[in-house]
Amino acid sequence: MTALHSSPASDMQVRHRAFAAGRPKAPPHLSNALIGCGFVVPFVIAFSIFVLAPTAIVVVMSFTDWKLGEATVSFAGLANYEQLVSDRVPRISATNTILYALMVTPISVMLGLWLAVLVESSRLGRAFFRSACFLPVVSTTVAMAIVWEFLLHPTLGPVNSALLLAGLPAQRFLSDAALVLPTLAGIAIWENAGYTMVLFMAGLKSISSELYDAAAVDGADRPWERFWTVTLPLLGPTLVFVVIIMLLRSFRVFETVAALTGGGPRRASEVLLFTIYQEGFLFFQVGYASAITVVFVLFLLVLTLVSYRLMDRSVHYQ
Amino acid sequence: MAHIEILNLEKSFGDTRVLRGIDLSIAPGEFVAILGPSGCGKSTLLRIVAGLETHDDGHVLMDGQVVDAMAPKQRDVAVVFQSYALYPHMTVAQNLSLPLVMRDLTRVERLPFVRHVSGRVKHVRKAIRESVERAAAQVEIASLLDRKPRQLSGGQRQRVALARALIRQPKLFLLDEPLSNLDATLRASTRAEIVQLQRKLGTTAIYVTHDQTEAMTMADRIAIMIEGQIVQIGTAREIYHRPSDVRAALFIGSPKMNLFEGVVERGCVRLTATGSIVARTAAAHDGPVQIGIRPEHIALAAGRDEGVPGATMDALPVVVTHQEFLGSEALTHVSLTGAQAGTEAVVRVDSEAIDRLDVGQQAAVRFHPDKLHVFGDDGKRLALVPSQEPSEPGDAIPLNLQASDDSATQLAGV
Ligand SMILES: Nc1ncnc2c1ncn2[C@@H]1O[C@H](COP(=O)(O)OP(=O)(O)OP(=O)(O)O)[C@@H](O)[C@H]1O
Ligand SMILES: [Mg+2]
Repeated sequence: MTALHSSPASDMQVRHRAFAAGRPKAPPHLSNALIGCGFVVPFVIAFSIFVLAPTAIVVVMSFTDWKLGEATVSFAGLANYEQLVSDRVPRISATNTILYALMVTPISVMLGLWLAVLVESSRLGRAFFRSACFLPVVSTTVAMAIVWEFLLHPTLGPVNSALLLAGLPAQRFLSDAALVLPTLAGIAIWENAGYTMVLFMAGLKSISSELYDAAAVDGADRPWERFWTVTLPLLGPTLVFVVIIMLLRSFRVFETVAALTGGGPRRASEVLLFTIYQEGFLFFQVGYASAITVVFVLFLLVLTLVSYRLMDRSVHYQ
Repeated sequence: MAHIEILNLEKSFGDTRVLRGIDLSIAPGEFVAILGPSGCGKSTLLRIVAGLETHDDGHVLMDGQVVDAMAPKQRDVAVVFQSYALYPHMTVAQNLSLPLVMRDLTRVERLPFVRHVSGRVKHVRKAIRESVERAAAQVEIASLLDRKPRQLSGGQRQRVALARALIRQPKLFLLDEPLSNLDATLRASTRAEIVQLQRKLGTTAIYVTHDQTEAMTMADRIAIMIEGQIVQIGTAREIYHRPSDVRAALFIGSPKMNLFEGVVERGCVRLTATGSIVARTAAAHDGPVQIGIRPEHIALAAGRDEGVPGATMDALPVVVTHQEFLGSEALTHVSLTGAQAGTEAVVRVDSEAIDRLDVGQQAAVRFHPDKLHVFGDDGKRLALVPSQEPSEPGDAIPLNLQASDDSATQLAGV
């Protein structure tokens, strides 16, 4: 059989050689390099303009005493960083931000994972639940914050009415220093869970159903056993990604604080981005705000690297 | 070892009827291959027997007990999946021990630290480790126990999947095209190993494949499945020599059985191309039939009929269209030229004969009369009446193996 047909591969080679012979100029590796550059250059330009340059400017400004609107600028050395160490506010807002992230990240991740497994395993209304859970992600946070403000209103809000109906005391969710941070975290979790759910659902899709069959034959067929034997280990890479995304998202909390609490009461909900905003745009201390920003960015960078390293070791990649 | 009975099994996915009344009985220790084209429902049948899929009607019995409502783990079956389905995050040893861990330890005992607390768990874990090593040795992967599946070759993965299936010593092995991802050489050697393992363990096995060589070389019996029905079940020889259905006849044997148009008239089977009577049948009613003949049961002679010894009857005039040299033998493709022109046939010839024929050359073929298969309108085999003496001389083809030798001699002189 084979003897009768000439092999298509050798045919191709012959044709390719003939083709190349017709164009003796530019050696192929050179034109390939040019094409490669063509693809990379737009990115490099955009990245420089929108990321590198602003970062560099912020770093430079953090060593100056520039105030917004002032014409004079002078070099301030490490003065801004010294102020940062001695100042009380950045410390409070850093603590609040970390506490907030520690509440938001694990709960958003676990809730999203639970929802994803639940929705994926339910036959009915998968599309409906998926969109319903994703709704908070696509809606504007500030608009949603207004809804939450109404829901949590001390006297008019339905949440407090429900508490009263259940015989529990009403709460001042947004003006009680002990409650404000957990309340903001709760809003963030409500917003994030749909996002993590969609990410996990994408991860679940990539798990071969044959593995669940194998697990069922091997005796791991209860939901919990399936989860431990197949689902969780194979979602590992997704999990690492989602945890890091959630950490970064929760460290960048700003909108709800600005819209609902303004950092109050008594700085109980003061978070880093809000402090930066206040210093830079309300008190015009651009140099100082830049110094906080630099420290904040460095912290996020280290946090991302460390958490990635820690989790990556225990994760299986296909 | 289990006796498996499948009774009138029905399965539909939505509007498509995938299984249409499957009946199958498998003796303890038997190795049965389910052979059929892609999409005929083989995997579905296997999954229903394993308990991974529900069925609409009928029953599955193991050792006389209806298992329709049982979960896979209660049925005590092991499955080797086509893509092996190894747990990618576990080492080979962990992959092999999972079935035993799930079976022998309770939920609490499975927790990682319990082995340091409970003497029983420590003991069980040790026994599991020993079983793992024994199973690994059986398929020669003992040196791979600490690797992850992604660090293994296709053949090694396949062995791990086999070891995981046999480690629990299940009552029934279910294998779904386990060799389809291996290269040809490895496939041939693994084929033999699987059969040897199965013989040694004596475990009943159902082996799904679309490869007739696998089915014929491995199985005690083959069930030919086509469009959700089992059209024939029997040994490879039975199916090859006495196919009960034209679809089974076409599916077993390579190259395929040749088919010619024919007609039954008052018990006589007439070949449409020549009009000659080639066989007699007891079949009651007249009508069109298909006459089948395997490539090795056709004799081929160069030239139009002349010079073929004993050619008193009508030989079929053909033209050679294509030749394939396969080493120990050769295949000559011919096309009828007279009535029924264009009907293709393949003739198996010895490998020297191929040099004496050219593409485009006129030739003649004749059939071995005892080797004809006649299939009725519904595709079912018609019983033939063995007739020693042809009633009209020259109508039946007086050809035997001797004659085919003669024609080869004749060809030598061309
Ligand atoms: N879960 C399912 N839902 C709908 N249709 C299905 C499902 N599983 C299988 N089918 C259909 O049932 C038919 C038989 O499928 P099956 O997998 O049993 O074929 P097969 O004989 O194993 O084929 P192959 O040799 O290609 O593996 C096919 O037409 C397939 O499309
Ligand atoms: Mg299949």
